[in-house]
Amino acid sequence: MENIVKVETKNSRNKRKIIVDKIIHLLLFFLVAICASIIIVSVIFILIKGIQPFVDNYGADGEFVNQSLSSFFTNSTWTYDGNGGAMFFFFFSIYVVALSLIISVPTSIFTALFIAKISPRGIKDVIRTAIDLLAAIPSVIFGLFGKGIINPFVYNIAETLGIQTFAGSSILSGALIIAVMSIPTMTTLSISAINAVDQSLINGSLALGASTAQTNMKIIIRSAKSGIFAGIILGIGRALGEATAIQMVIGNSANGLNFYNIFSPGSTIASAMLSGINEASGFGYDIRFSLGILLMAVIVVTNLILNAIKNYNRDKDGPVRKIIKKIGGLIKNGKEKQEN
Amino acid sequence: MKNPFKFKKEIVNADLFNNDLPLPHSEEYPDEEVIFSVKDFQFYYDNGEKHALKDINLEIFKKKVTAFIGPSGCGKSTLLRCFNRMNDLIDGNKKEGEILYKGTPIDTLNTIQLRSKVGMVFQQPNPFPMSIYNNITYGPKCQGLRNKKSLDKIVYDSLNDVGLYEEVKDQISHSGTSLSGGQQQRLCIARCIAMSPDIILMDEPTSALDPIATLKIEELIRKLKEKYTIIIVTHNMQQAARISDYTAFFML
Amino acid sequence: MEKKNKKINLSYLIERNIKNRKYKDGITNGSTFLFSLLCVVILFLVIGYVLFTGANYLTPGFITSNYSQSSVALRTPKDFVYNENDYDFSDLERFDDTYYSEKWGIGLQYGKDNNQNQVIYLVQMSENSPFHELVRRDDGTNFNIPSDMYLSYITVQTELGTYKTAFSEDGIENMISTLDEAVSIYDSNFLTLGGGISTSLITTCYLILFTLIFSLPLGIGGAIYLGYYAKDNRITRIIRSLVDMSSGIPSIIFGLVGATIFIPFVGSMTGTTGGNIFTGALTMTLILLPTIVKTVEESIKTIPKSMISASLALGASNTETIFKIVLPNSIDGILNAAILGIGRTIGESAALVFALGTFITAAPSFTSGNTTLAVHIWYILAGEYPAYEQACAISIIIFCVVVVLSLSTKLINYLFRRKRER
Repeated sequence: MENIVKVETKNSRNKRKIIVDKIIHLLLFFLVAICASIIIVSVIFILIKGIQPFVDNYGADGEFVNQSLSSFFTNSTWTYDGNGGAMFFFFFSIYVVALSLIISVPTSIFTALFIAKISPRGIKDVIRTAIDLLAAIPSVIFGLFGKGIINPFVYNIAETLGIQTFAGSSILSGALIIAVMSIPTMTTLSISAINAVDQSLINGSLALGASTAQTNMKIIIRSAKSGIFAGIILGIGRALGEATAIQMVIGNSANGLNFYNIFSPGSTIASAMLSGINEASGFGYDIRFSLGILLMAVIVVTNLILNAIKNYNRDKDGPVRKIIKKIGGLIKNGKEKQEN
Repeated sequence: MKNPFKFKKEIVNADLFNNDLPLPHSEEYPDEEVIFSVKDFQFYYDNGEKHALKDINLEIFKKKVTAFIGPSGCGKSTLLRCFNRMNDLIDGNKKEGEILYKGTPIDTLNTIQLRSKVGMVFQQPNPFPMSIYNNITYGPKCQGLRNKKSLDKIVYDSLNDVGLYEEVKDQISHSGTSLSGGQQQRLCIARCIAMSPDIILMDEPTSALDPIATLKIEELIRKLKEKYTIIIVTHNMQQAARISDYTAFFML
Repeated sequence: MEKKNKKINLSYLIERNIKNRKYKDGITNGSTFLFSLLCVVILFLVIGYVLFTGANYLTPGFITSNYSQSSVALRTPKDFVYNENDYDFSDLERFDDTYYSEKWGIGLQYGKDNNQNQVIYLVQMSENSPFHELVRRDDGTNFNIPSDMYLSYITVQTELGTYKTAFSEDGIENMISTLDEAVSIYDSNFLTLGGGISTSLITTCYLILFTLIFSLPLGIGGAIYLGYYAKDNRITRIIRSLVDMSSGIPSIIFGLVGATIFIPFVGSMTGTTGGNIFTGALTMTLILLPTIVKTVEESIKTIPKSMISASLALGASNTETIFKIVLPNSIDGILNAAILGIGRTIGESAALVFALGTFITAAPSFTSGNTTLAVHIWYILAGEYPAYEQACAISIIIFCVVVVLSLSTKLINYLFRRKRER
């Protein structure tokens, strides 16, 4: 009997345990609340600071100077005298990202297809590692690469075409660097989307006499469409917010809105926030917060639109369908009225 | 994963496209024409470690329904998938002996030719995530048929053959995945018929369906055997008795 | 009749198709291969460019020296008289690659500055050398020449009373012959190597340290709540979606947030103005938190439910279960999160430009503006004459760290997967 050790449970200790438990639970909830509130606090502070240039007085000598709201949204020349318009940056943000998609989307989809379905094992690991490393390279090194390699490259192309460039700093360089930077994100997500395609669909296609290449192109890419699209949306979000690399290669001009000459310098919203920050103070510093609001708005709206497009086919009663139906209904009504 | 850059030498036998090709008659059943004959066939998985099929000798007769029955894991589906060489997709497979299709060993045939002559319907209905029309024209389009009129004709004929035309004629441009399970399976059969195959392989086509849909598929099989040779794998003895002309019993 | 036509038509097509198919498939597969080759080529271009341009510049001097150059001007004292008999330089050890001035008892050697230009170092001095008597030109105090300073130029007074100057660019022989003519040294200029990265390197290390100190407890705590406590209710869903959303915000926005919230906050606590390491670390914490929460939560979710239930069933409290079961079993996720955080902190530039500043200072400081390696690259490329070589040399350092980090992630995943399988 002496060999048995009895474990005694003391009531007081258990009570203490319960109290500690509750404290820890509350503490952890507090921590997660901090994590979750980051975005809310951030948005509030940026809004407060970003609205300032429109409201406060920045003039010296009794003069009243602030950013005019109407010119901010309509003017396409950027100045620091209160009449600057951010439309130049807005259009170029969209334009540069759209140009970059021409390169990055096919490259990522085909690379993902190659890695997931076509490649032999050895080559697959090499390319996979290359993609992982590309994803890990910081944007400032891509900026350096763009400044050192892509800009001279674009300069030479323009030279042979007989177009003058600002030492190669151009929208094209910006688009190229953004394309390179968004390839890893898009490829990684496309690979998981392609791997998730049901094997039964692939078998069904092969059993119908389609070749592997046809199955890859017609069935796999089509079935992985929504996953690939999610990757593209993520890539676009990153690309819109990318500042350092773009700022280093794009030339940072403040006016000259044009879409036909991709060799001319430009500026995106994010790059405009970064360029000239060393010398900025007062109005020139605070207005960057207003650009920050614009950048967040552009990213959020782009995401909403792209997600709505993505869900268009899936949700029979999704918001986009409803809107299109409504517009269709209106047109129909109008026609009927006209006929009457 | 196979090397994509290595071309395997395969022949295209133009005679096999001729549906009126005279076929040899079976020795055991002199009335029947033999379309597939399996001779001393062995099949292994895992680089020869797992012996899945042992000494199979079998003849499949033209325009007849042959049912494969047996306990699960006995290799019914494996043999079925050997007929259109779908097992080639599995890494580490190994086979011995031969399967002759109209007198030609299938291993020498081009897989595209073989699979367009030997259609397959799977256990789970697997319509492609595209419209009903595109689901049916997928096969012909893959072979380069672009003529809109012929495609329309093929869609009409094959939907009619499986009795789906009346049910879906208003939603032909809707996604194939929006149909009910039984309809999806019939769509998969229609997709198969669109290639005008000689043989349709069915891998437990009714196991994922409710009794009413099952009944419809069985009716359809009885109808289809006038035009096509059908091999069906089933777990259900009654079903085999209801629809098959010949039955092969597999043992473990 | 039409049916028959159709059949013949398709058979013919198949026959023709099979002949073309191989080439068409080859082209399609080949094009996917070319696209993936493009990715590899891009990676090699980036690495190749950085290595070829920067490798020569990545010297120990570059890493250990400051960005700013400090100089000191020295001369012999006003009452200095050179008397040949006073000096005995026999204690000088002689080396082959060193040049010696017999008159002044010093050894000179060629070296390179951070721009790869040839400079002259004073490497040896005899115990009795008059160079020990050199004083500062401005206040006349004695000055010991440190070994990391090189000799930029020297102006001497000759016996005839004229002045003669020798520059380091003109070579050591010229300088020694000038010294041989000299009776006193009127002016000599010693410089430290400029353009180095030591401050930025140390600041980066501090920034990583403080970022991890701030972000890991917060992130791990949040992840434990989400992975262990959280029930699937509305509040949890809102928290999750908020965390998800903040991972989609570009870092430059967080830079602005850091500039508006943390600079005044830290300023009011410690009396600093402008960005410093703490504001930078707090800003990086904002950027990293969503990723850390996600990574650790994923790893907590892979812990078998039965293990947690068993712990609770033995009478352990939730707290004990968290510290004895949950945390030890999610150590791989925590390590991965820390590695991810280090990688992001090293590479981040846009946010730190706002929250930390771009001032490259002489010594790391906790109270004033500093800069990290990535911002250092951005800063030296932003000027009129971009210093590509130095930028590439820094990039090599960053790149090596990034490669080591991604390899260690793979290693951690491999080791822990094996452990789990056991």
